[in-house]
Amino acid sequence: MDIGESHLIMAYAAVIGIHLVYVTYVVIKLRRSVKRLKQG
Amino acid sequence: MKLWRWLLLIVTLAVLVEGFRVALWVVPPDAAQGQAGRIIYYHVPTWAAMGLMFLTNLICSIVYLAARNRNHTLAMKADSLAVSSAEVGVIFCLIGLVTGSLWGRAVWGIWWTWDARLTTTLVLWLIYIAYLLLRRFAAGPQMRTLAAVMAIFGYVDVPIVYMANRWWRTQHPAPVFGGAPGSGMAPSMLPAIWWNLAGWMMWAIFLVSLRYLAEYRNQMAEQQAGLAALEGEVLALPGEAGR
Repeated sequence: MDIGESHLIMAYAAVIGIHLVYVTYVVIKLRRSVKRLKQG
Repeated sequence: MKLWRWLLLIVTLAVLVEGFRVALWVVPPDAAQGQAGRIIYYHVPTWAAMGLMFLTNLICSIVYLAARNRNHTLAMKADSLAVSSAEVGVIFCLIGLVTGSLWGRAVWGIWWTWDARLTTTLVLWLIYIAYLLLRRFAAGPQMRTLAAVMAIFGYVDVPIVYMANRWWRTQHPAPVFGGAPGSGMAPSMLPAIWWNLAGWMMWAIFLVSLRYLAEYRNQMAEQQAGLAALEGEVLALPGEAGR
C-alpha cells in the first residue's frame, strides 16, 4: 500500500469517525430534549 | 422522527453509498496524485456543505435580529436554526481541515503550512467555535442578540476563505472549480464529485434538521419554565402583601 492509499483510507476513517461522534451527540441531545419538554 | 426525515435519511444514505462506490471504483485515479487524489471527492463537497451551513446561520441570525421584538415564535425558530447550522458547519469545517491535512501529507509531504487558504479556514473554524462557546457559556437575555451579531461579523471570513487561493498564490492549489480559464476537472471524474456533492449536502440538511429539533425543544422547555416561574411569582405576590 503506497502513501496515497493509506492516507485515503485514513481520511475516510476520519470522515466516518467524526460523523459518528457527532450523530451520537445529536441523538443524546434529542432524547434529553424530549425528557426536558415532558418535565416542563 | 417524522416520515419525511426517515425518507430523507434513506435517500441520503443511498446517494452517499453510490458516491462512495463511484469515487473509489468507477472514476480513474488522478494522473499526478494517484489514489490520494480521490480525497477531493469528499474534501470539496465538505466545504460546499460547510458554506451552506454558515450561510444558513447568517440568514437565521439576521432574521432573529429583525424578528426578536416583533414575532417571538419566528425569532425562536430562527435562533434554533442558527445555532444548529453553526454546529453542523463547524463539524464539516473540521472534516475539511482533517482531510485536507491528510491529503497535504500525502501530496506535499507536510501536515500543515501557514498558507492563505489554510490559515483563513482555521480562523473561520475558530470564529464559529467562539460563537458556539458564547452560546454555551454566556447567560442573560442579550446572549442570543450578541451571538447573532457575532455570526454576521464572523461570516465575513467565508468569502475571504473562498477567494484566498485566488487572491494569494501560496501552497494551496489554484481553484479547480470556478478558477481561471482552463481550470476544471476531467469529465470522467465529474460523476464522483456530483454524487458526493449531493450526498454530503443532503446529509448536512438531515443533520441540521435533527439538531434543530433538539434545540427548538430545549428553547420551548426554557420558555415554559420561565413562564411557570413568572406565574409562581405573580401568585405569591398577594400573599406577601397581606403579611
